[in-house]
Amino acid sequence: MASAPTPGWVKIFIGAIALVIVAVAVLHLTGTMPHMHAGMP
Amino acid sequence: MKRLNLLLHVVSSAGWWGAVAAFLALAIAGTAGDARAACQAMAVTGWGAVVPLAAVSAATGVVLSLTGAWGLMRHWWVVFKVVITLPCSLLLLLHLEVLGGCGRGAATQMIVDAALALAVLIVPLALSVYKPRGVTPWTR
Repeated sequence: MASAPTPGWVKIFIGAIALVIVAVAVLHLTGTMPHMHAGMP
Repeated sequence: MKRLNLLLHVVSSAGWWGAVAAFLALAIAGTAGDARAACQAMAVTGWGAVVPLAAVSAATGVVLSLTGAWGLMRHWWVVFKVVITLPCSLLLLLHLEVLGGCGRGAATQMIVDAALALAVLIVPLALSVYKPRGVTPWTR
C-alpha cells in the first residue's frame, strides 16, 4: 500500500528544526554561548 | 470532560505565552533598573507561572490527542506540536536553573531567551489554529 506523500510544509519544518539544532550545537561547541557552561554573573 | 480538558489546554497554552511575555518585560526592566530584584521576580514568574502552565499545557495536550480523533502521532501538525513543546519545556527548566546567579548578565541573557521562546511558542499555537493537512506515514 502506497503511503501519502509528505506535505511540503512538513519538509520545511523538518529542515528548520534540523537547522536550529545544528546552529545551537555549533554555538555551544565554539563557545559563542558560554553562559550555560560558566554560570551567569 | 473532553471540553474541560480542551479549555484547560487552550488557557494554559495561551497563558504560557503570556507568562513568557511578562518574563520578557521583567528581563528588560532588569537591564534598566535593579537587576537583582528583576531577576528574583523572573524566578518567581518562571517557577510560579511559566513552568506550571507549560506542564499543564503539555499534559492536557497529550490527553486531548489520545482521547480525540487527531491522535498523538497520526497528523503531522500534532507531531510537530509535541516535537516543539517538549524540548522547549526542557530548555525552559535548564535556563531557569541559571537564574540562580542573578545579575545584569543574567537579565540580558533572559531577554534573548524569552524573546526566542515567544517566537518559537507561536508555532504550536499557530499549528493548533491552522491544523495544516498531512498524515504521518506510520498512521493506518
